[in-house]
Amino acid sequence: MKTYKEINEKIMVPKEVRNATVDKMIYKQKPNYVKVILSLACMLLIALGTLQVMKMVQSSSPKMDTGQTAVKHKQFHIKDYLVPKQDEVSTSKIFGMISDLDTDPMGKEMLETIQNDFPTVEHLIVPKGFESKLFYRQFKRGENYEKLEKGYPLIDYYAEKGDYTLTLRIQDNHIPQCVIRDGGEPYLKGYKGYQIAVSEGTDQEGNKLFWAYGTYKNYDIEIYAMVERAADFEQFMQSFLK
Amino acid sequence: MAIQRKEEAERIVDTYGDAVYKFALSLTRHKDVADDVFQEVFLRYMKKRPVFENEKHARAWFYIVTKNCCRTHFMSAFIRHSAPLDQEIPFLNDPDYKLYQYVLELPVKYRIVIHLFYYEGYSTREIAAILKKKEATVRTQLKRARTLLKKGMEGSDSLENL
Repeated sequence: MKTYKEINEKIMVPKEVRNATVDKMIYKQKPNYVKVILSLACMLLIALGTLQVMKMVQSSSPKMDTGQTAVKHKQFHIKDYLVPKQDEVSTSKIFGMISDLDTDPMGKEMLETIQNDFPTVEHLIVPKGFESKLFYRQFKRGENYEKLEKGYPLIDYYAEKGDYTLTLRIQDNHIPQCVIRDGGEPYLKGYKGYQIAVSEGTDQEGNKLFWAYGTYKNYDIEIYAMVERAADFEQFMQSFLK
Repeated sequence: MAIQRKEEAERIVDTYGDAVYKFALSLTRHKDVADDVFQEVFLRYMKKRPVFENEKHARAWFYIVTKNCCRTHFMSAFIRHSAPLDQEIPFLNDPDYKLYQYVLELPVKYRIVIHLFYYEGYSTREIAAILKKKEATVRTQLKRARTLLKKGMEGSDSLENL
């Protein structure tokens, strides 16, 4: 039998992974001017469109009485959505494949829909010093690569600093899961079209953990946070549920 | 300028790539996940551009970032409910490589110390410094890892092979 060292000597980075990584490292350094200009143009168009719509609405609607205010949602606070402590739920594992949505030409429509449904994921507020990453992906279920089914969209967001981590997963509810249907449903409470519940605890090392789950339209949402202060998690949730 | 950038990226990937990949594979146990982690580690390097005091410092940085990337991956809500399609590590079925399979079955904290101690040849003191843990904790973890391996391998070969 070979030793652990001998076995590891045989393991090499696959060439395609090495080359793709080098390409990405180079690409990462260049600012994408086309993308920047297109984004600015889109923002300008949206702003002009919004102004136009506002003007039309103002001219066609009767004037409000003085003192009348628009219905406002109160700020999201964890304590309003906390669920009683639950045992760890056991969910059966699902087999499947995840791939990037933004590089798949077939996934363009799917990407646009999920981006429109969750515009706040581009501007989430994380504690100072956290580094974040956002992925638009799709999940294809199947027992093996030959039997993969149609893809469904999902969003992955990671932010971390040292030992602290915030992760957010939004996925089409055709992708089977999850705690919501595994006994978590009764605890969901409404908030701006979302159904949300929050659970809190500590990990083995005594770090503060938060776990939020919920639904919005045809999506399931799960947020997992290991943060220094409850306020960090609350602020993150507020920026997401804006 | 572009050539310089490419050269730098290639140099850094070729210097630390194998070490990062082996560590990621040992921690994640899945080839496709290790591929993702590998890429993420080097993108983080490009983003941060850390200045290393020496070779040891550089390697320690890559190990800690690889560990963190794997951790982020494991914490992802989805991972707790799903399993990637099996992409077996090709040599695992070879009886000569049985030991690797046993190591992969250990809890992740033990796999980390086993890898750093037996493959990278770090001392327990160095591992403690890299992982920011007490040396005694590392020693205990190594001992427990060996005991678990021994249990797993009973009926097979002895631990002398490690």
